[in-house]
Order: sequence, then C-alpha cells, then structure tokens
Amino acid sequence: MQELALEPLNRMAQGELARQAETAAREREFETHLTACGPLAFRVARGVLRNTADAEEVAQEALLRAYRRFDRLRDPRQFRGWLARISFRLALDRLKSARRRELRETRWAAEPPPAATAEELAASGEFRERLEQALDELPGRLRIVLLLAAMEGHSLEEVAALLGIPSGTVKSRLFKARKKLAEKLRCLASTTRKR
Amino acid sequence: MSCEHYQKAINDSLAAGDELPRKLRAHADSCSACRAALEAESAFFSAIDAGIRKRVNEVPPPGLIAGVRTRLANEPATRRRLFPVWVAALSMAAVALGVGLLLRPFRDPPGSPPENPSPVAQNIPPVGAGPSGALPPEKIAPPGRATQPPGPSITPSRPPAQVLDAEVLVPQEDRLALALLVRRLGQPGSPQNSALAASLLDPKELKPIADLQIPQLEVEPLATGSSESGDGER
Repeated sequence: MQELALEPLNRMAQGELARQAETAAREREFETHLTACGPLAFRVARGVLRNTADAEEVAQEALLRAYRRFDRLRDPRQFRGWLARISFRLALDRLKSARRRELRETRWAAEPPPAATAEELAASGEFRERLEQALDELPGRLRIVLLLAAMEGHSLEEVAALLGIPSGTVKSRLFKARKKLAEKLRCLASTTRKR
Repeated sequence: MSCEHYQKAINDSLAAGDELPRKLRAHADSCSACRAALEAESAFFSAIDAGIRKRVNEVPPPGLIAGVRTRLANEPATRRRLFPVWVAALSMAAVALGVGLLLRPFRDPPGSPPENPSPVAQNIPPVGAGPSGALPPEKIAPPGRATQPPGPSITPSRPPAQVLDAEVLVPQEDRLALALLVRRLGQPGSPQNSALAASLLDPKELKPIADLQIPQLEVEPLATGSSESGDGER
C-alpha cells in the first residue's frame, strides 16, 4: 500500500529532477555561448551605434534576449548568427530612436565645415564622421554583411554561415555595400565642395 | 578600352575587395592617369575599410559578460515575483469560491440522522406529533394538516449569526408562528431553518397562543335614499 502511494511521488520527483537537470544543462550551454559570442554581439552593436556605452547596453540586451529564447533555437550551432542578427536589430532600433532624438535636439545646429575631394576627405579628420553617416544610410542587409566581414577573423564563408546565406550572396552584397558606401562618400564630398 | 573604362573596372575591383586583375595592373603601370586613379581609389577604400574595422573591432568592455551574468541572475527573481502574484490570484479566487459555497444554503441528504441535536431541539415536538410535546397539537398545528406525518426533528447543527439576526428581527409574539412557518415551508432537516426554528422555539420563552377572539360584527342594512341609489339605477 505504501509503495502504491509513493509511486506517483517518485514519478513527480523524477520529473522535477529531470526538469532541473535540463535547465542546468541549458544554462551551461548558454554560458559557453555567452563567453564565446558576447564580443560578437558587442561588435555588431558597436558597428551600428558608434558608441561604446550604447553598444554594451545593446549587446547585453541581445544576450538576454538570446537567453530567454534559447529554447526556440533549433540548431545551437546557429547561435552566433542568431545572436548577431538580434544584436543588429536591437542596435538599429536604438540608432533610430537616438537619431530621432538627435534630430529634435540639433535641428538648428550648424553644418560641419566642408572638405575638398574624396581623397582629402579620407585624410581629413571628418572622414570618420562621413563614413559613419554613409554607413548608417546603407540598407540593413548590406550593412550587416559589411560589418561582419570587417570583423577580425571573419572570412566570407564565416559571414555566410553566420547569416545563413550562400557565400556568393555575401560576396555580392559586400561588393554592393562598398560601392554604395564609396558613392555616398563621394557624394558627401562633392556636396561639401560645392558649398 | 578607354581609360574611363579602366578606371571603372579598377573601382569595381577594389570595391569587390579582389586582387586587381593583371590586365588592369598592366594598364595602370603604363597610364599615369589610371595609376593615379588606382592609388587614389586604393587609398579611399583602404580608408573605408580601416574606418569600418575600427568601428567594429573595438575591444568589448570588461564588464560586458559580467553585466549579462548579473542581469541573468536577476532574471529568475523577476519571474519568482510574478509567480506568487499568479498564485495569490488563484488562491483568492479559490477562497471566494469556498466562501460562496459555504454561504450557499445547503441541504442535508434526505433521511440522514441529525447531528448533535441540542436539548432545545429535542424538546420541540414535531408538527402534529400529539400531546407529548410541550404544546398541545391543536395550538400549533392547523386542523387540515394534523394527520400529516411528522417531519424530521429540528437539528440546529450550528448557531450561526442568522439565528441571532432572526431573534432580533422577529418580535417575541410572532416567533412561534415563524418557527412553524419555517418548519412547514422550509426544507425539512435544513440546518439553517432548523437552527432558526430551534432558537425561536425556546421553551423558556414560549407562551401558549390564546384563541383568536373575533368580536361579532353588527351588520346593519344601508339606508335607502334617492340620492345614494341613483348611480346604479336607470
């Protein structure tokens, strides 16, 4: 009689233990990913936001979201690319809201001084600002390829694996991104030269 | 191919990040304009690459992972805070349901023996039970119902607040009548009605009801007059 009464309890305890073990394994796995992929989340965010503090915050938020949705990830090997996309989207959202705020605050601010040619622009101190402006105007699908490819240790194949797209697509997007970026920078240079 | 085409090809090649084709390299070596364009474009794209690399390869702050761990550690606490709210809501609903069930008038199953009958209830005779009780049957039972079988005995299983309320509300002289009404109209064996009846039928307070004395009415014929009978006659 006692065995019969204890059997459901044992089943419940076993179920609870199994659940706890599963949670612990999941947390261990996520901890591994956290250490390995945390810098990637930061760099992606930093590439979009241009601000270390904002990028850190966005990277942390991206990692937290990844943790919360870790169960939904079918293939854990896709974690890096998944995290990179989460971080990229969060950074874009942050950038948009920051830009709206900046527009409100600096609507009547003075324009920066003009530069001469693209080469002069590249050599000038304001090149970075122009480059970042041009980068921000790139479409997202081109921008993330450019950012990931510029990260240390990322080959085209790795970027393709991260984004889950063919290498040829990465290459063509990279080409388009750099072309557009160069055009925008030249356009900015010519615009400033005319003034 | 003109220099314009060469320069466009140089630009495309640099934009793709590929190594410059041998044909283009050879032309640039022989053409000063295209060589200058190649150098300018190379510097330009190098600057772009350097700018992007600088932008994305910044060393993450040392507190990044620690910050995530801290926020993760706080994460379950947030969930734990939500859990008791849910449990509390469910508990409150259960308590409300339980209170509602307790306050609902419930019935004893028919034929069930009374639990812990009080001496007061035992002293109360059933309706129409005969002269063994404290009151004669003709005093408490209507004549038409005297032959009915007696109902279950009144069992005040609990002396709740309703009884006290009834004592307050019911005048002393009407208690017996109300007790009888409760026994007749109420459900037999209902603890609430039984308790009410028991409290009302306290033998110490019971007094026999005197026979109803109705004075003889004196009926006098209406006086017939021309002014009063005019409405009904035509």
